[in-house]
Amino acid sequence: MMKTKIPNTPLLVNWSLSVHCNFNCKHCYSRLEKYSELSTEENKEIVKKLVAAKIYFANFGGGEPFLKKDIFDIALFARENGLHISVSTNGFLVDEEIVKKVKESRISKVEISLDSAREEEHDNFRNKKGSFRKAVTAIELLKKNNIDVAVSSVISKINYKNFSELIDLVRKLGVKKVTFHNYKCSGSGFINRDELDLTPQEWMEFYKNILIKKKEVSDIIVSLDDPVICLLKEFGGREKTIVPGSSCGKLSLAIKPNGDVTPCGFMPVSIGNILKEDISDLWKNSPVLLKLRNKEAKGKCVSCESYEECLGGCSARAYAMSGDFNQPDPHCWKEDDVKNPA
Amino acid sequence: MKKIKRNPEIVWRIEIEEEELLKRAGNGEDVSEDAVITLVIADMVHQLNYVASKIWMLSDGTMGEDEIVSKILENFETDEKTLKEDINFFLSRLLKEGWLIYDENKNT
Repeated sequence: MMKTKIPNTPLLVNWSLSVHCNFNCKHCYSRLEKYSELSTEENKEIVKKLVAAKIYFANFGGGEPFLKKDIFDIALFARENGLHISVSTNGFLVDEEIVKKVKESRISKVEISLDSAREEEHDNFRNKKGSFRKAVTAIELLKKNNIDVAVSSVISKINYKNFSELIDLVRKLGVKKVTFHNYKCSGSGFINRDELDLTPQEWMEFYKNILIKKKEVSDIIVSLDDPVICLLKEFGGREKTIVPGSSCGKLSLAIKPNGDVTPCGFMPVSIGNILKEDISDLWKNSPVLLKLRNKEAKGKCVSCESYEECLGGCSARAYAMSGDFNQPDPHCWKEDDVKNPA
Repeated sequence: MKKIKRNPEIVWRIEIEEEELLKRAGNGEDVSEDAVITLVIADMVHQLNYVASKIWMLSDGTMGEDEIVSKILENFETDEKTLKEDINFFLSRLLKEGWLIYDENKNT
């Protein structure tokens, strides 16, 4: 059994170049954030710092990355220096010209947000009429040009019962991977959580159903990124990971548009600024990251037999709801054994 | 014999330098299962222990399968038969997965 060890530096950074967006999604974690943006040269400086720290993967998120005018310049510079760039986008701006630039700047993968196979559901969730059509067209265009495409879907009240239809659509579009993201209570997602977030029981049902479906699907990678899934061992449990709990601050970090570094995009806690500080030093010595890697079980986690694997679930969600990332993930459906002995 | 090399498409990095690892081993620490090299393949993270990392590093296009096995055997005082079987299994698995490839231009 390989010893679990935090890598020397992150394997991936989720990098928001801008929080500007052409959408106004109800669940958006970044829309309410305000940051000054860096110049092209400053962003290239970040690329150099990442590569010097042997970090070879970055994902441009946002905001909508394709609104950022110098994205392709930064992406090409990154690739030429050994940093592989992927982009998470709503797909609305993707046309022949953007696709050409994606190819020219050697962006390795584009992940398109698609939350439902039902046009109205997707448009309603994304708060943008026509967004479903545009997302599907973007996928078709990227596929036609041999660009690696994946689908990214945020689970909410709107779509959690219809995931099978989305998997079918993904298959029909010829996409090989779909990731179902758990709902994060950050930014607008926090404000709209009562309307959109599932109850713990609904999360359990959703994960049970999708784990059953996942076993049946062999031609598409169905990816789930939620540590609480390890409670469902009888349904296959969580996919094999090299670190227990959430990967934020253990395998990955996030960079904000002004260069601030946070454990993940959904946790608005700056641990420093990459332009002013050494990323390897932040990674090794940040008190916040050290605490995230050495969580202390609280509440019902104390008596939970899955804690070693789950580590209290999503730290960002616990932090958003309680101000303490050691608290149990609010999505966890497990009964408190101490309060409710079997 | 065909030379073996790492698939150039695979992104990988060294987590622990051999010198540091051997120093720790010299101090009595069990390092046999430490993650020495990390590979990222199709969004999946894989980590290699010391022996696997040695095989990975030796797969630089200068050696064939038998030469790699011999080189590893030189460095480890253990049951030769078992180690040889393990190395061959590992090599064939990585070749099957396409993480290692035969260098078509180089033959012994």
